[in-house]
This record gives sequence, C-alpha cells and structure tokens, in this order.
Amino acid sequence: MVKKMVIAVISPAWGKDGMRVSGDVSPYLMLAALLFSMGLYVALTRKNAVVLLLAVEVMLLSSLIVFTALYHFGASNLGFLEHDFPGMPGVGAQIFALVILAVAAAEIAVGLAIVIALYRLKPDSNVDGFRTMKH
Amino acid sequence: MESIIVFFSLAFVTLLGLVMLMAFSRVLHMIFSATLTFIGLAAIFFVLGAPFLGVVQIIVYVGAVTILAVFSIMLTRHDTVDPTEKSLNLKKIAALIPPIGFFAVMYLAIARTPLFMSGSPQPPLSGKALGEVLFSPMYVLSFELMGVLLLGALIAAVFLAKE
Amino acid sequence: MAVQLIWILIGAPLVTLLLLTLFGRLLERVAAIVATLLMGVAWIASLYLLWYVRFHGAVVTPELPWLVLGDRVFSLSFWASMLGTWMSVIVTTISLLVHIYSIGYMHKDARIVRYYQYLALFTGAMLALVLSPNLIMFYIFWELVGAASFLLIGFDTERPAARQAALKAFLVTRFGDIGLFIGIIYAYHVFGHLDIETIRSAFLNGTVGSDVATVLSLLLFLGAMGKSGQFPLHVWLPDAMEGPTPVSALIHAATMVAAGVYLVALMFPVFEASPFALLFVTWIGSITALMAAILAVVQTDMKKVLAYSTVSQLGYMMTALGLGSVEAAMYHLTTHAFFKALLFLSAGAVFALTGTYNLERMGGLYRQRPVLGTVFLIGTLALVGLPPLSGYFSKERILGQAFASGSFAGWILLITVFLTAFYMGRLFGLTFLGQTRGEQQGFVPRSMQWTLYGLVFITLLTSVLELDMSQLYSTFLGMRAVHSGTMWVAPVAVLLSLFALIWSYVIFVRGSLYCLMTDRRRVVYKILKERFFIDAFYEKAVIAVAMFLGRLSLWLDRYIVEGLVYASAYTAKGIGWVASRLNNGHIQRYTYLAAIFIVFLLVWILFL
Repeated sequence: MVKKMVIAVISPAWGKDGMRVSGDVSPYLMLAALLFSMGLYVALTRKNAVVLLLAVEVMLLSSLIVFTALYHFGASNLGFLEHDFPGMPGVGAQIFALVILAVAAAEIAVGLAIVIALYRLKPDSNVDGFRTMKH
Repeated sequence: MESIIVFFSLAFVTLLGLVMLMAFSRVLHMIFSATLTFIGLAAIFFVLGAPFLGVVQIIVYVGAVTILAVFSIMLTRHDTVDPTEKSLNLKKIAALIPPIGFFAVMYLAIARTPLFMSGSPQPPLSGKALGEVLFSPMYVLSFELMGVLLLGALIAAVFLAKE
Repeated sequence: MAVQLIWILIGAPLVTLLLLTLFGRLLERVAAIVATLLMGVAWIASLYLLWYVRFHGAVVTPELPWLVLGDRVFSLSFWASMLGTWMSVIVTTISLLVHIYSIGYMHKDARIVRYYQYLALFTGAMLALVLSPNLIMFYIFWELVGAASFLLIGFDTERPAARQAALKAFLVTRFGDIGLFIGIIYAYHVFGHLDIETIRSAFLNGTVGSDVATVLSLLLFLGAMGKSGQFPLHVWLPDAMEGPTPVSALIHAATMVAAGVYLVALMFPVFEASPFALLFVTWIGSITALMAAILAVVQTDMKKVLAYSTVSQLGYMMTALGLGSVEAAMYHLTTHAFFKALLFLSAGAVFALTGTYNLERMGGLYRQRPVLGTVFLIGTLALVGLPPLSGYFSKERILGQAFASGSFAGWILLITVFLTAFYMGRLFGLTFLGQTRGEQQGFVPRSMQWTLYGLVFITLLTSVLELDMSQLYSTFLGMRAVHSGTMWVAPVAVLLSLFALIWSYVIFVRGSLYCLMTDRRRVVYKILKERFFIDAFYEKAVIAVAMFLGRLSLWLDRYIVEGLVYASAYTAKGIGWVASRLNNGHIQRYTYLAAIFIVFLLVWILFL
C-alpha cells in the first residue's frame, strides 16, 4: 500500500502499465535526473547558505522538466495528472509544474529571509556555523 | 534531426551552468552560473511547449531569485571563497554517494520503463489556454491556494527579515 | 480644423501644467506670463470654436478606445456642442482675466508657480468637463474640478481656516457627487452605455418611462446641488471665501458652481420627462435663492456677502431650469458669471487699498477712488437687475417664465429681488459711501485695474448687445423669447429694487431707519448670524456620526485584523519552535542522511 503511494508520488513515469508517448522523451528525463543529482551534490557539499538554497531550487526545477517533457510528448496515462480537457490531454502536468514553481518561489523567498535573519543573530554565512539546535 | 541538436545544446548549457557552479570558488560566480542554468531551463521549457512556464521561469528565477540571492550575499558577510574548496576530503567523497546512487537508480528506471510510442506530440500550450484551464472548476482551487501560499510566504519573509 | 481647435483648447492648460511642473523653478519669474499667454491661446481657440460650431453644428473629435470590458468599449473623445462651447468661452474668458489679475494680486506670493499650476489644472478640467460626450468622462472631470477647487481654496496652507474650508468644500460636494455617481451607474444599468447625446434623444423621443426619469434626474440633481451650492448643500460656499480672491472669482462665482447648472441643462430632457423632478428643482432653487439672500444681509465680510449672493443667483438659475426654461438659466449664468467676477475682483482691489474685507472698517471709498467705486457700482447694478444692464434682461426672463407658468416660485423670486437689491445696496453703501471708518492706503496693481476695466467692458457689452439687438442672444443660444403675458413683472421688479436700494441707503449709510435684521440684540440677528443653524446641525449630527464610525473602524482594524495577523505569525513561530526541537546540529548532515535514505527507498521500490 505504501509502496503504491510512493510510486505514484515519486515516479511520474510509472502509470498503471507504462506511458504512451511519442518521440523520444527519455533524454529529457535523463537530463532531469542528472540535474537533480548534480544539484544534490552541490547541496551536500557547499557551505554557503545562499548557494545551498540555489542548489535546492535547481533540484526542484529538474522535476519541472519531467512534467513538461511528459506533457509535450503526448503522455497519456499519467495517473493522477491525467485530467483531460477537450483537445488538451494531460494538461494537468503543466498545471502541476506551475504549482511546483510557485512553491519553489515561495520557499526560496522564505529561505533567504531566514538566512538574513540568522545572519543578524550571528554574522556567519556558512551553514555549519549554526549548530545550536541540538537536542 | 534538428531536435537532437536543440536538445543537446540546451542540455549542454544547463549542465554547464551546474558544472561551473561546482567549479567556481567565489560565491558570486556561483550564483551567476546558477542563473545560466535557469536560463537554459527556461529555453528547455519553451522547446517543450510550455511558453508560459518558460516566461514565468525567466521572470521568477532569472529575475527575482537571482537578485534575491545576490542581495542576500551582499547583506551577509561571506567568505568570498568557500572554504571547502581546495581539499578533497572524506566529506566530499562521501557526498558523492547519494547523487551517484540516485542517478544510477533513475537511469535504470528510465531505461527500463516501457514507453509506448502511440500518443501524439502536444502543441505548445499558450498562456490563454493555460489560463482557461487554470480557472476551470478543476484547478481553480489549487490556483487560489497557490495565491494564499505566496501570500503566506510574503508575510513570513517580511516578518522574519525585519528588525 | 475644428478638431484641432478642440485639441488646442484642451491642450493649452495641459501644456501650462506640464511646463510649470517640469520647469517651475526655472520659470518662476515668468510663470505668470507664460500661464497667461497660454490661457490667451485657449481663449482665442474657444471663441473660434464657438463661431465654428454656431454655423457648422457640433464637432466631435475621433474616438480613442480606452477601456475594454468584454464587448463593451468606453472611449475618450471630446464633443463641442453649442452648450458646451458656450460654457467654454465663459470659462476661458474669466480664467484669462483671472490670470491677468493674479499677476498683480499674487505678486508677492512665494508659491506663485504652484498657484498657476492649480489654475491650469482647474481650467483644463473645467474645459474638458463641458466638452465631454459621455458621462464617464464627465464624472472624471467633475471630480477633478472638485479636487482643483480643494487645492485652490486651501492654497494658504499655513492658515487652519483655509485648510478647514477646503476640506469642508470637498466633503460637502463629495456628498452630492455620490448622487451623481449612483445616477451614472443607474443610467448605465438602464441604457447599457453612457453617451450623453443618445441618452438625451432617448428621453426626448419619450421612449423612457417617467419613473426612470425621476430617479435619474433626482440623482443627477444631487450632484448639481453639491457643486452649485443649493440648499442644504450650500454650506461650503461661504467658507470657500478663505481662498484667494481671484480664485473666488473664477471658481465660486463664474465657473465651477455653474457646473451644476450646466449638468441640469445638459441632461434637461431627463428632467423634462419627470414633472416631479422639475417641481423639486424649482422648490430647491427658490428656497436657496430666498434663504441665501436673507443671510447676505447680515454678513460683515465683503466676500461673504458676495458668496451668499452667488448662492442666491444660482438658486435663480435652478429655478429657471425647474420651470422648464434652459435658455433663461443659461442666459443668467452667462451674465452672472461676468458681473459676479467683476464684483469679486473689485473686492480684491478694495482689499489692496484698505487691507481688509471687513465692512465695518470701510467707508467713504468713493471719495478717494471714484473710478473703483464706479466699477463696483456697475457690477452692483447689473446684479440687482437695473436696466439697461445685463442682469436686468436675464432676471426678467426668469421672472417672466416664473409668472407665466403660474408658479409659486415667481413670488419667492420677487421677494428675493427685493432682498438682493437690499443687501447689495448695503454692501455698496458701507464700502464706498458714508463716513470713512478705516484707513485707505495701498494701491491697486496695474494688472488688476486692466482686468476690472475688461470686465466692465464685457458687462456693458452684454448689456448693450441685448438692448441693441435683443435677438442676438436669442439666436446665438437658440433661445425662445420670453412669454408676453407677463409684461408687468419686469417693471415691478425694477421698482422693488430701486426701493430696496434707497431703503438700504437710508438705513445703513444714514443710519436713520431701523433694520430689524441687523440689530445685534435681537434674536432674528442671532439666527441669521448662525446661518439658520444649518452648519451647526451638520457639525453635530453628521460629523459626529462620521467620526464615530471612523473610530470604530480604527478599533476594528487595530485589534481584530492586526490581531489575526499577529496570531498567525505567532502560531507559525510556535510551530517552528516545536519542530526545531526535533533537529539538531548540521543541516547538511541531515540533508545527506535524507538523500541516502531516499536513494535506498527508490532502489527498494523500483527494483526489489
């Protein structure tokens, strides 16, 4: 049960029995995976708070590529994203992409505000300077 | 044929941005490399038939996020050079595991996914059409919630950042 | 060709405003000249336009689509009708004269550039108002005129009395504007568009019911009541005298207050379709005329006498409209504009001479300045309505119309004629005749003198024209001749006026007879001094309620709305505090752990 939910959430490429697409969608999916991984690396390695936030943004954007690519290549059978409008199948993917963008924008705004607020507390801009939330 | 050229050039630009992000030592350079990535991404959106999304991407990321990042950098005293740079230490090697692992998993997933070639490519979704969809009873609620979310983010950001 | 005239006409004040705004500091010394020259251009354009429209019919400028709502388009254009062009001539003429006058009057003022900016704003808005083809533009410029009036009344920003007077003017007219606004919305609801000519013809053809007409005309009239100072919205006009005298001449004698009359005249087919509305207008007009005339008798400030006189004469115009005669009203509007401006500007000259407007500190000016005295006398007699001056003809038409239709208004207006002569006689007598009570030094600047001469000329011109070619006014404005069954009215009115003049002379200059109304010890005087307690009523009742509502809203905003904001912020903070206890140390380590976990999760799900 959990497995099914997780699949549905994290792996848009997996509908009930595969995707119907035209043309070659996999390069784009690969690009998205690559972007995500590289962003993840940067997020784990760099110490500057702002760069960290930017890397997280890149990770979020990579998911947008996936949605948009799936929409473009005529992906039907998208599961929960499948809601069709006449003449525009799979448009839910774009809507979802837009929502993710909005969420990412909101998140980075708040994130940067936190960075600035933290800086006031302690004039250090590296993330490993803040260890005070220990239990 | 040309779509391959287009794809590779855009992908190259995007990844170049990320690679430069990893390569540079000065934080400001890193931010602008990220901007390059954003631009490449916006181009990809345009190619993939989401012009509205591409425009929003440019406005929000290249425009707002970049500026925000630059301002944050300017407001916080930063070491111009990120200290972890020169040393190849355990942390960096250990940090390679999740990205490589993730990518490996994804690669296998994508390669093995049965993708039937029977759909048809979608035309680019114009802003007008997107608007009509967005305001339909199906999605208008999410639209409104997005607005509330952005409002909340705005209030929170202001509240956090003020004296 | 005529279209360019319209653009010149509207553009000249706009250019003035722009120049003064951008280059005000550079142009300071010549600002007055620049503004006056441009207003001269506008004046010539208006005269030319009037000539053109008279012989070629109305002119419309090309439409500019401005606001598109679905399939409804509101467009901007300007419409030079006969009525509108006539008004624009009046406006530009008096504005030009005021500009010239102000060169002398405002010479010492440091904010002279600002003054001319406001004048340009006002004149431009007023011109655009009378040239508006649809009700939306009309309303926009109506409001703009009100705003300019506010700025000009309160020009002396250091004096609290001026600021309060400006605020009072704005608020009272705003109240009337509510009616106008609702009326416009209602018209849109009924017609689906706001084109004035189309609405007029709809009413003229009788295709609209009389209840629609009643509602619409009453709403519109509310706006006219505000701007034109009809009872009970007249209270702002006397206080508006706090503004500089040229401003009083321009705005509160000749042009802005005439906007209400213009509105009724413009939308007259609407009123005509509703007998009830016409009756209402007649009642309000005549009550206003009478009441203001009564109050004018006890004023001790020159400008206040003239202000109440304006209110009274506006009442005349409204009554004329209510009785069905647009022509008589517009005729009186024209003549009144000129001689009232003359009177106000002469009062300004008196101020330049004596340093005061207080009647109790003047007297015997005629001996010192007979020319000024004559000028003022001409204005006075024109207002009172003695032949052969212009006021006689216009008042005669109104009175004739009143008695011809057998209305009660005729008698009220006749009493008012008497009172008009009475208070004007008092004004003239206390200022120019009798013993000298104050000091008279000072001089009248050249520009002011020339303006006065110009106005005298125009007043006499309008009189002469009527006398000589009584058909000229009629044909020019397309007016009907006065009814001939009421020939007895005019001579009676003249006799009453003469009698009142003599009586006022005896009372106030000689002090021989006793006047009940001005005796300070009597109750009558106290009531009149308190302006029939109307102002006091407004202050206690209306303002108190408004202040109460304001404080209530403030409390709501401060404690409830802001309280909610704070509550949500503190809630977030609290949740954050709770969540923070679940984490500790380096965040990158946790990111790392999360990433590893996700990778393993993926592997497990996808491949195992």
